[in-house]
Amino acid sequence: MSERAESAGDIDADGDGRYSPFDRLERRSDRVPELVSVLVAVGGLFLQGGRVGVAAGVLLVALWLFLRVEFVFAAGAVLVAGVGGDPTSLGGVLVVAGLAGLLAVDLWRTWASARPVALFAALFTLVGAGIVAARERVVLHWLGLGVVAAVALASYLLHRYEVFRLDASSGTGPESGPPEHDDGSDRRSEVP
Amino acid sequence: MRANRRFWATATLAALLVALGVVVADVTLLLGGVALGLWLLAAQTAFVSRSGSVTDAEFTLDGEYGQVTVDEPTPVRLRADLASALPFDLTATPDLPANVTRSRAPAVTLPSGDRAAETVFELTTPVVGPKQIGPVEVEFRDRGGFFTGTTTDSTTLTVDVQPRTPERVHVGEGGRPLATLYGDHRTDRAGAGLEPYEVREYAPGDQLSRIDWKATARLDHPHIREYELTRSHETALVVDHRASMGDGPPGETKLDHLREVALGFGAAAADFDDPLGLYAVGDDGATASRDPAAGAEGYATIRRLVRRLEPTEASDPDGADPISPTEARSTAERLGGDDSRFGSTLGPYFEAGETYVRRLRDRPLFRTVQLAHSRLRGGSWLVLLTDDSNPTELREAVKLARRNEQNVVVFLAPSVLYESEVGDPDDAYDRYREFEALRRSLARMDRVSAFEVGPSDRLETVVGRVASGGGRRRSGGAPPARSAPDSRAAPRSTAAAGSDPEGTGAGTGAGARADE
Repeated sequence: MSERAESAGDIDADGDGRYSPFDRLERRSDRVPELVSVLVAVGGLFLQGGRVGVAAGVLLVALWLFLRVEFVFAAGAVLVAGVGGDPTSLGGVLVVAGLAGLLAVDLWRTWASARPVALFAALFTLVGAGIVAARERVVLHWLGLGVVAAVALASYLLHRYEVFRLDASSGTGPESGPPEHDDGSDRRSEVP
Repeated sequence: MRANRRFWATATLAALLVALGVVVADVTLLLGGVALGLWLLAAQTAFVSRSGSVTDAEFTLDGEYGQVTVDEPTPVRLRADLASALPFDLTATPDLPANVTRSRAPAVTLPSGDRAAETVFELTTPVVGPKQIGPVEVEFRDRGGFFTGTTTDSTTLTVDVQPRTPERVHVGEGGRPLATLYGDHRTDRAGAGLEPYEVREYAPGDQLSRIDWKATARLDHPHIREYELTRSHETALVVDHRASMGDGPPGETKLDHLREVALGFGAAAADFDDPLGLYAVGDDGATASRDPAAGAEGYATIRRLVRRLEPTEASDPDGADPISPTEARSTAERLGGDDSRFGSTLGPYFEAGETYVRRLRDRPLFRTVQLAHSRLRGGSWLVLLTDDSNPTELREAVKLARRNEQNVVVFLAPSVLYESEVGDPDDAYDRYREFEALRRSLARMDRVSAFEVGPSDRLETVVGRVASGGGRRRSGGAPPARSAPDSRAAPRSTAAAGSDPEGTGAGTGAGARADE
């Protein structure tokens, strides 16, 4: 039983409410699984690009030391594209697995449960394989548009379901009226 | 549920990667963007699936006191209990009413993984009335900081805020408390009513229907049963709340003490369903005027008005008590034979009683009593609650009030009992005797009863010391504490003690009333 002035779990919103790509509040010991993922990605980069790949890997590790995981992942994807690897090659698979592992480790740490990790892995495997398989037959921009639309729609439906369930349990009606606004850190907008 | 900045930053990164992949026709970048989008989707799914547990949480609000007085801090405990630990940081914040100040943030935070937390904060309000704390707004956020959810728990706590009231109210005469309860409205006259009054012999002219057959059979002669005539008392409260009524420590001023008496009258009037009116006297004249009326709504309004009365600011710094006509006449006679410059200058000020009457009419208490008197029927009751600051105005107001067969009950707050320090006990005692003389002079008038109202502990200090022999004795009269109340002062008066039905906190709050 305790009471705290601030939540220790606020990773993105500290006291003054600013979100920064550089805030990493987890302890160093918590980052060992991520290190494994990063090293796998570095190995894949080496296989794909040789010395250039190693340089890209070193840059990736440096970024991982300071940036949040989503930025490390995005930077990794750009580096892979820069090295010019094929995602179906061994090196490409290792890089993708390593980078996706970064995200999975963060999910596991956040939710202390394997279910969101399993869900992410299943979805990514399914959709990724589908994209790779379909890229020969479908124009890439339609693929991208379709996937983005599907993910956004699923997110929005989840949001509506959440709103309905919480309103039902608290005995109030469905949300209505103008969107909420506050002067806090987070944008009070609905998930798309 | 709302998305936080991290969500939007990640979604933007994902969109940029997808767009870049499409532009440069690189499936790796496209896969990266899709991976980030699916990562967000997995996090959102986890959030939605676990947030249902929040609604099972139990929140309790406990107040140490269900009833507090204004500006008195009351501790409130907010506790959160979860059936199982959640992966959320959860913050519960009760809604607070307006005009409430708190000692600290009234929120309890339950870090992810914990199952119970509580916090205690103090609330203070200067506003009287029930205050509802709650419902409890619950906000929870995932540890990743992507989403924030909110819900409302219907837990509430109501704290009744009462006005500050004096704790030891003395109502009495000459230092002796009155303890008789408020009386019925007996008239000692036969008439229509419910209470049997007498059985008398039948007389020609009596209605046959009024014959009491049992008494007739028993006494072997026709008898009539009479019932006692009862009637309601129309009463008007005239409450003085001029600046001088603010004398005394906070919560125990003259007005606070007299307020208790007025509230006692309000409660008694409600019990007997008597018409009750209220006239409040400020420094600029009447500040409230409600003609006597019965009914719960009227009583409640008067109680509310009485509770809200605060001492007004003195607007007339030159408002000294006017001298009486008798005094003016005798002074005028003395000055009439004075040919000096002093006498010729002051003479005109004492010549005419007309000037005096004009001055009295400008006095707020006199004016308000005049107003109340004009609204009352003959035989009604006018209850005057004031202090002894303006004895002449008071005396003349009482004289006016008792006209037209009106009955007058005066409750007086002796100024000597409300000073911050007693000072010289003998001086205080002298001043109390002056007050007592004033009270007795009022009580000697026909149909007038006069009582003192004050803090009993201070009265004990001023009067009891002398009564117990601790101070000097006065010649020519027994100490007030031992003096018998003037038998004419309140021949059949009764006073109610502690009769505030709303529990305003006055231990011996009193109202007083005289039977016919």
